[in-house]
Parts: sequence; C-alpha cells; structure tokens
Amino acid sequence: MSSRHHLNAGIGLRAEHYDAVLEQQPRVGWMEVHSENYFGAGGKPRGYLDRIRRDYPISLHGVGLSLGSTDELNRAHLTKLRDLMHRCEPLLVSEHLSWSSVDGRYFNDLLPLPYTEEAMDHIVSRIMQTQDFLGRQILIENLSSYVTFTHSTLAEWDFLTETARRSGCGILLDINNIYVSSVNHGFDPLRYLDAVPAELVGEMHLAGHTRKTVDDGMLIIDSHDQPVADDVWSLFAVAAPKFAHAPVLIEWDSSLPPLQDLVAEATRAQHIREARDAIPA
Amino acid sequence: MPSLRELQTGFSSALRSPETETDVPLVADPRRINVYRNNFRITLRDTLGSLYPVVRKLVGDAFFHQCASDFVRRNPSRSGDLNDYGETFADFLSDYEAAQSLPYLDDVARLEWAYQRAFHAADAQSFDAARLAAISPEQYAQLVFKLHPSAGLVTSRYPTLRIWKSNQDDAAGEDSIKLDDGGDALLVVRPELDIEFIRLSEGAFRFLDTLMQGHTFDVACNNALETESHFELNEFFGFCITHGIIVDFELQESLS
Repeated sequence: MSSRHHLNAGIGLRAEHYDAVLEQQPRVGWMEVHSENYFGAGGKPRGYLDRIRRDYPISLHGVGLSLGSTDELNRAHLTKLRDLMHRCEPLLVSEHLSWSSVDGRYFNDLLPLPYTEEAMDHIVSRIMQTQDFLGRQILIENLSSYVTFTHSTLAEWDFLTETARRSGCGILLDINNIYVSSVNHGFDPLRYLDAVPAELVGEMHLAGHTRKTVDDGMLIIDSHDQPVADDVWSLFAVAAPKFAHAPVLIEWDSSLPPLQDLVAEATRAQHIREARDAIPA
Repeated sequence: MPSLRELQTGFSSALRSPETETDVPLVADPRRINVYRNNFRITLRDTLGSLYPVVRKLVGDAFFHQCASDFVRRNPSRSGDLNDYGETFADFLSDYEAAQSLPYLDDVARLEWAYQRAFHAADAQSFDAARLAAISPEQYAQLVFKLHPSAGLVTSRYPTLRIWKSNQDDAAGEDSIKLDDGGDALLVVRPELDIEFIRLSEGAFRFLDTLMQGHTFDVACNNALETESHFELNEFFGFCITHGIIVDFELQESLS
C-alpha cells in the first residue's frame, strides 16, 4: 500500500483524449479505463493503452460483468478481463455493486440490488468466484440509484461494507454516487461516510451529475458529463482525511471537455487532499 | 418474499414495458423506473449511432432515432460489452419498411460493421520475407498464406465506398454518385492502426477469398485466373506482402 500512499489524483482515460495525453503528458497520478473498451484483440485501443501505460499506472474499471445477476457468471467476459489484466498489469481492478442482465438479456446499465441477506449471499459468492478466477482482489463500487426495493432490510452502506468483509474485496467509494443516492432516496450522506471503514476503501471516484425534474419532484442523474458539483466537492472534503490512503479519480464520460479541464478537476481534488496533509497531526 | 431471481426477471420485463406501466412489483418508487427504461434504450441507440455514423448521416437524426429504437426493441443486447452490439443492423435495414426508398442503406451498414470488426481485430507481425525465400520451389504448391486478422471482404450492389467516403467529416464532397454505377468488391483491412478500404478486381477478390478459406496459394491463383484471365497475379501478390495484407504462411502437409 505504501506505493499508493502518495499517488496523485487520476483521471478517466477516454479515446478522445489519447493523442492529447501523449502530447501533453498531464501531471496526474494515474489513469483509469473502462475494461470492456479494451476487450478487442488489438488495434487502436490496445495500441494506445500500451503506450500510455508506460507513463502512468493504469486501473481497470468494469461496467459489464453483471456481478449481481442470478444468471451464470459470464466466463467469456471474465476471460477477456483476465487477458486484459495480464496485458496491462493494472494497479487496481474494479466492478460495481449491481446487476445488468437476466436470462442472457443485457441492459448495459448498472441496476440496483435489493439490500437483503439473500442478495448479499449471492453477490459475495460471485465476487469470490471472480477474485479466484482473476487471481487478485477486486474493488466494488457503490452506484447511483433511482429506485429502492420495498423488501430491502439493510442500509446500502451496511450492505456494501458487509459484502466487502465477507468476500475479501475492497471498496471503490464513489463520492458522487453517495451524494446522488442520498438526494434521490433521502438519507444523510455523512452517515454513509461514517459507516464505511477506512481500511476497506481502495479507491475513490468523483464525477459530475445532472439535476432533472420528474413527475414526483427532483431526481439527480449520474451523468458524468460535467464538472464535479460543489456539494460533491464538500462531501469529498469530509471524506478525504478519513480515506487518505485511497487514490482518487475524476470520471467524465460524455460531453468530454478538453484534457486540461479534466486535469484541472484532478488538481482540485489533489489540493483538497493536501489541505488535509497540511493540518498538523 | 420473492427471490432475487424473481425480482430480476420482474424488473427486466418492467424495463421492456411502456413508460405508462407503473405497476412494478417490489419497487418503492415505480415511476422512477422510467430512468432505467430510458437509460438502456439510449445506451443501445447511441451505440448504433456511433457504429453506423454514415447510415445516420444519410437518413438524418430523426429517422435514425426511430429506426434504431425499432432495432433495439427487437434485438436485445446479449453481452456486457457494447462492442458486441449491432452486428445485424444491416439485415434489419434491408427489411425495414420505411427505408425501402434508400436501397443502398444496408450495403453502407455492412461496410460500417466491417470497419468496426477491423477496428478491434488482433494485431499481426509483419511478413517474414527471409523465411519465404528459404522455401524451395518444389514446396510452392503447399504454401498457405495467412491474411492479417483484420482482413474482411465486403461486396455491395451499389457504389458503397464512394457513398461512405463522401459522407466522412473531412470529405471534399462528391456532388453526385450514380447508384447504377454498380457495386463494389472491397477489402477492409487494418495493417497498422488505421483502417483501409481497398477496391478489388474480380480476380483479386477471388484470390483473397480463396486464401481466407484456407486453401493453398496454388488453388488461389487458379481461382483468380479462372475468374479474371488477365489478372496481374505477381503485382497483386507483391502488393499484399508490402501492404501488410498477407502476414504469414505455412506449408500444407503433402498429400502424397
């Protein structure tokens, strides 16, 4: 963990920024890619990744494994992930506390699980199978959600923490997602931060969201298409000292800004971290 | 209490039902399920839009939106990797009632899928000419040449390549393309990182098609010359080597 201790804030790497990254060599600590975008056998995605990883540590962030699904675990998907892992030697490998398929039909979205003992048993066993297959620990990310289930018996933070403890995985704590879900479902985001043990968190995410008016009021959508919101920066300022060892990343997936704007967001995250470091112990 | 399995199959059918359907079991705030209903449709539509930019440009955004929505409704995603989605869009377009006035649309879509396939295909080492030089002439008949993994052949009834080129963002613009100019026989290949479309003569097409099926050089040459008696075999073979289209060879076991 010591090598990670001083890792500066990172950014999500997207194809639109490949050339800018190679030319500008931005001062960020690391870069994260969506694993599935590199599942192809060769060509530009893999070619650029091979070049960029010479200069930056890389992490693999999966969006399509459908860990929480009651279908069989998708071996073909896992095999591609393992091959990619061997090729790019990532610092971290992560997936989501969600499901996205049933009966072989994929929605290619992060769908929420009910927070029940049954669902926990299920996802714990799936995470363990995945870690066995990959031969390494993975991190599991909390998601933004828009609905809850009437038969849930656990709070999300307890479900997440207990899942990590039982499966041996780490947590990728997405601060924006905590904020989004706290507004959508009316809970206190600080309770979430309090409940998650620092030693389980291996990475943090920050991203932009969109406020939307719907039939029954306001809903926040996890859109990753704009700067991190002020409320999320405030929440991050609270989280930063507690999870001081966890590398933090700026995610931006659509309506991409120029690379320097993304780097400026990472620099801001870095400054919030360092402000914490400046306080004498 | 319903099992997780039941919850997921119920949620799945709710996602596929119309927006007005709010009777979703177990969901505390059923109207909000529309966010998920929209999300997955938008994701798959956008995937088609980025896979088929020329089709989209040809028909316009509004028409494409409708047509992609119809495709998504009938063709669920079967993979957690969106790069696997949309292969059958060309076939769908050829039967799509509203697109019948644009008979070349499915040809263009086939070309765009071939581009996608080549984009993600494996890389290859460059051809080892010294290894070939060491083969004795008696063994030539056993030579089986391997094409670059990205290589694909596409035929069309219409001048698809010109339509494709004139609809690229950096296109100079070709004012009129006559549809009765005839179809194309094309090689789609990615020798390095950039994808190329190469127009082939009938003989060249037959030559590569035969090699792709794993036949020997001998058979490929005979087929090519049978199709096109004046086919410039040496010239085309040399082009395939220098251009990174043929990347390797092996010797077929002698049948004698």
